[in-house]
Amino acid sequence: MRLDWILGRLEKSPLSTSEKSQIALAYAEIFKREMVGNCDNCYHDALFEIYLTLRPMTSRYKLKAGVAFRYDGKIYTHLNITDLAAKWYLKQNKLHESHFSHIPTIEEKPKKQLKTK
Amino acid sequence: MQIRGLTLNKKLKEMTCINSIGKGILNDCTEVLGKGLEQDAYIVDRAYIDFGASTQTGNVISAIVLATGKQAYKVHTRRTDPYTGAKDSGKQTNFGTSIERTFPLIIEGRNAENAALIDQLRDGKYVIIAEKTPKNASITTDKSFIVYGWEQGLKFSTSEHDPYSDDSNGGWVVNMVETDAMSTMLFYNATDYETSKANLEAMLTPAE
Repeated sequence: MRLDWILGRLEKSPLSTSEKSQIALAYAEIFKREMVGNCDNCYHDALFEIYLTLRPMTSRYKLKAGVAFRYDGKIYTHLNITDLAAKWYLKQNKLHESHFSHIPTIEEKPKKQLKTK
Repeated sequence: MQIRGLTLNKKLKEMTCINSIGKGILNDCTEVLGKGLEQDAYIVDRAYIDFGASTQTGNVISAIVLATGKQAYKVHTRRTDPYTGAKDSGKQTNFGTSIERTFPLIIEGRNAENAALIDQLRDGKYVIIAEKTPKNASITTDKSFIVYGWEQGLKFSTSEHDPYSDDSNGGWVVNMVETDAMSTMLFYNATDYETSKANLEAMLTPAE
């Protein structure tokens, strides 16, 4: 189930029978349980739960479209880049900096909490 | 004779383009051989490509990087012999080889939107990435994606609308042509088939 498909259906009402069926199937597959209810809102709620599970984690690194690499067995593009994957990719080659439209500066990085004795 | 630490002989060699084969021509079936292109291809305005960030080694492009906010678009044909007429023709010139690449786009729907799309194709230069039908996706050296228009850009050449044409199902055939390209053929390979395919699909969504 593609994220753009999900986003399109979240804004659509009413949903078609086949769309409802796809949502129910995807819900059962992802959460290993049947979705509750049969109303239009129930399907939208289920779809939103699916979206929250599938959406990519927001990264502070912005990769340009057209760059893809494998890290830890997973393919990363600008649609699903994570901070961890971006840091690894940058370490591989200095030239990879040009593949990012934004690399967070030190000020932007989250401050580590000081340990208090 | 020394020029900045190098012998003149070595320096001259570095300055000369020396092309010679370094392997046999065996057609030995270590790769999957065969004809044809897949029905899906990708098209991007050449002006949207960030060539400074894109990478190419020899005949392989490993990154086709797009400028921020720009995207590629999918091309699909229902024909069972997709993009018949696509070809690369080389000829000898005074300065090496000149390649002419042709890529036919078939636009079936006869409507105002598609007519406007063809009008838009008349301006600018484009890059099209097509997928070979025979693949050996399990090996990383496989080059499943052919790139048209990387060097000089594909430009609108001819369009033909024939209401009774079997080639276009009554729609348009638009021939996009790249002239004076230098490389016999260019391939796109991000590292392996799966990564390349995932990346081409991701390019359909612009980056922030």
